[in-house]
Amino acid sequence: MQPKRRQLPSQAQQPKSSNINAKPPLSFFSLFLGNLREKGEPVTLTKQSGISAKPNLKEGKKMKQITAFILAFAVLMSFIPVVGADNTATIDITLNNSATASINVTPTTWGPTAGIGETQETDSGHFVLANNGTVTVDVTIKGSNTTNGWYLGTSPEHDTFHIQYNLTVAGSWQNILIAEAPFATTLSPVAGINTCAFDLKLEMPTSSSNDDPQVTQVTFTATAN
Amino acid sequence: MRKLIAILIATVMACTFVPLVGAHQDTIVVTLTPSGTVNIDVTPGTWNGAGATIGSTGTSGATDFNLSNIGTVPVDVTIEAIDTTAWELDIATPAHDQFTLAFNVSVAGTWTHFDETPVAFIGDLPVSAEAQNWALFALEVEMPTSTSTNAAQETTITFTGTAA
Repeated sequence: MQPKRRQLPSQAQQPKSSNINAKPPLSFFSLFLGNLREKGEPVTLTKQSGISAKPNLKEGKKMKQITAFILAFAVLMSFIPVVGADNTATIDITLNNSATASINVTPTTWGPTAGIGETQETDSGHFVLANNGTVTVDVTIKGSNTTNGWYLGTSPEHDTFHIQYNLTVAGSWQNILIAEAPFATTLSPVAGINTCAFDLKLEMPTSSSNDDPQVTQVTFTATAN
Repeated sequence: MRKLIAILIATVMACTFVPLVGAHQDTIVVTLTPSGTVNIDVTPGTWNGAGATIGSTGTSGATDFNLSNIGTVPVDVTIEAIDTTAWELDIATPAHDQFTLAFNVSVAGTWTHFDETPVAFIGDLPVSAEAQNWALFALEVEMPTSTSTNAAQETTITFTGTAA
């Protein structure tokens, strides 16, 4: 037996426009669209208007949802200052460290046996200057005339001697003068890197007006960096 | 029966149509003014590290500092501090160009080190004075064992309050 095939009306196959003012096709739509008519909105309805009307329902729900979201957001925003409130207070601390700059050099004496016109020097970093304070320091060096009539100069002459230093890390001889001059900079107080080794070189006067023992002193001065 | 059925159908349809009939929407804008504020205060706002020198420790009096909840809600408070221009704030031990900070809230009685990372200072600090809306505390600084500079150093301790 052949199943009955339902014949659809021709109008159902082709969308057909109709003016809602003319005749509401269904009571459902007449209720709904009547409301629209009150607002004077033109409405075009097709045979599929039963379908096209549904989005209007959804749209209404969406509008409600959007409104709900907006209200919820407004409520949330209003409460944020309370829930997420963040207030701070501070204490400023000033630390006056009163660090100590302290150095020592070893050995503290040297007795070269050079005669008049001769030169003598130490080697292998014979002297060591150490920063044993609590602050990084800059160190200066200066020499002095002798106690019995010799002058400290930049080259040996009559009654004039010449003394130089050579920092191991530098490798070149530098004059020691009466005037203070830089010796080492930013010498750390941290153990292991708080020392610098150096050598001294003495050039005796070319001639002397006396044969008394002569004593000179090399002075190192540290200041906080 | 038919009438009843007709009434029932009409009721169902009316219920169904209500959202449609009321599709036109209006809104009520609700403005909610916060009724609570977080506000804390600490006094004094400065400290000299108890005059500590290099290699030594400076400690304030046990109740020298006072943090108060002057807001309208209970708060949790954190504490943190920053490096100075030449010294690094360390959580554990002092060293060359490295110092430490610690606090001791009177009610706790123990020292807690802190650094740049916020740590809990006190929790649920009440609002009302009757419920003790303040916390007395001490600070301690361990100075660097040595320093690369002789210049005075400054750091700032920051307390942050959030609603408990």
